[in-house]
Amino acid sequence: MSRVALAVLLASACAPVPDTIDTSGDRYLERRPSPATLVDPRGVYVGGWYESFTGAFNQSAAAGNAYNLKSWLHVNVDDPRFYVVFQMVRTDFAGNIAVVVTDKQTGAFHSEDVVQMFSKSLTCDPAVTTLADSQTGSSMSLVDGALVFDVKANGLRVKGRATEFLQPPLTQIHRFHDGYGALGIWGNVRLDEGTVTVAAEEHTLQPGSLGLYDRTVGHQRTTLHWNYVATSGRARSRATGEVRTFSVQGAIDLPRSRPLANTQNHGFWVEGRFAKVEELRFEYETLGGGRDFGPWHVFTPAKAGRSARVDLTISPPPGFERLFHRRNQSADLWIVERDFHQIYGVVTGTLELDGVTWDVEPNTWALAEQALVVL
Amino acid sequence: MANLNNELRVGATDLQLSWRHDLAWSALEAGVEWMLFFPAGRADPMVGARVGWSVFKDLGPVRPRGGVSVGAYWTRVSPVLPVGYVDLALEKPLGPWTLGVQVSGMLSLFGAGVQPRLFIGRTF
Repeated sequence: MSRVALAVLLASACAPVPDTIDTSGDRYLERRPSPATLVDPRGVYVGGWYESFTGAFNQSAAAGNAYNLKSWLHVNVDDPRFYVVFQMVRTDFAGNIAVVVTDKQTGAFHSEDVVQMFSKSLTCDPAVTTLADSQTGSSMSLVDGALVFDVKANGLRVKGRATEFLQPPLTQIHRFHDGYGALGIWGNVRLDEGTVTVAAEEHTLQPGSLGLYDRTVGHQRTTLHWNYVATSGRARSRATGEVRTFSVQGAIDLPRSRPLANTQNHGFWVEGRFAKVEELRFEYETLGGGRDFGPWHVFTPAKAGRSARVDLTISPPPGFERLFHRRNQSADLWIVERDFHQIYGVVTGTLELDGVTWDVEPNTWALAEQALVVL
Repeated sequence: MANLNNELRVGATDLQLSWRHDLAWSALEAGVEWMLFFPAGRADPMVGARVGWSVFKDLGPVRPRGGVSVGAYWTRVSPVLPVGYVDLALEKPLGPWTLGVQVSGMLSLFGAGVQPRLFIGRTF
């Protein structure tokens, strides 16, 4: 019996992860009605791009290792003074609460990260709409388009309410290998009211500030390597001069992801419309051996038949020579390893949709990431 | 140490100070241990206590020994982290001193590993 158990343990530990997977069958460029379940009867995530997800959250039926089941609600808010990022994460064996506040006037980062290993203090419902942590008194909920949050991490606190807008959110089930995958819902919010507490001083966040959220649940890959961009603000039509609210979110896999999976999880909203971009590229110069970055160019290459494209450049904020750059290179024993770069700056450029070019208005901020995480 | 659920492989070193009481063919051991793991970024320490039981056989110039032990450690990520060990050792008695080499198999949450070790003992 013990030999069988040992063999199963070794086999599961050594199961090969493919280098890449073919995602063409998931039709990520075709928006379809919600599937009935997140995971099919074989334990495989039902990959695809969906109008919404109204099915059953049966992620526990997935064939992937329960160790890799993770849920999170992650929010960015772009206030005129602060860029605020916060999240609550529930994994199989840990909870995580993180707050990062970037002072746009000085470039100073205030970052706190609470990791609760082997603790059940942080709870999350299967649909990732309500998260609460009794240890820090933090909570987040996203119900019926209303986001309510009070997140506390070692003295940093962000509290407030926001309302979802720029519907519909980008809703995808990412299918990876062998019962691994995740539902990701990326949406936009407008702040109703909020405060951020930094160094025991409370600051009011400006109502109307734009933000975005990432609501995700699923069996994540163990080696994740990505680029990500998020920005929202106002853009002006070159054709009519009309100004509309816009938002861009997108992520791509970088080479060390295992498996590499092109789920085409990128697109943009221009008030009243959402469009996926078929391809998103990130180009930037790494400076100082990875300690810094030059401007980032995030774009969709021109190609016949592409009616939606982005062409954005993220540059240092006015008065600064460099992008704001935060790096978290750390590890926890043999359990988690991360090398996480976040850059903040002002974004210029255009969105093209059905032959209309929209210019991003001045003083619009963006967040971008280059990250490698093994977990 | 290798994580059994992902691709992390992390090196480690340790220092243990312990007391061992040899009986006729077995021994009890208790000690404190400081272990340092070397993941990317920064070294991660563990500090704890370890108890063990082993059997040995005197074969003249050398003394093979096999045993099991268990440790409980404080770490930055968890206040109590258990680690189990299977130890195989070969000792060389030199008067009141003992020199030895050891291979320890380690098993803990999500991870397993093998650690070569050297030790020096002194009889009082």
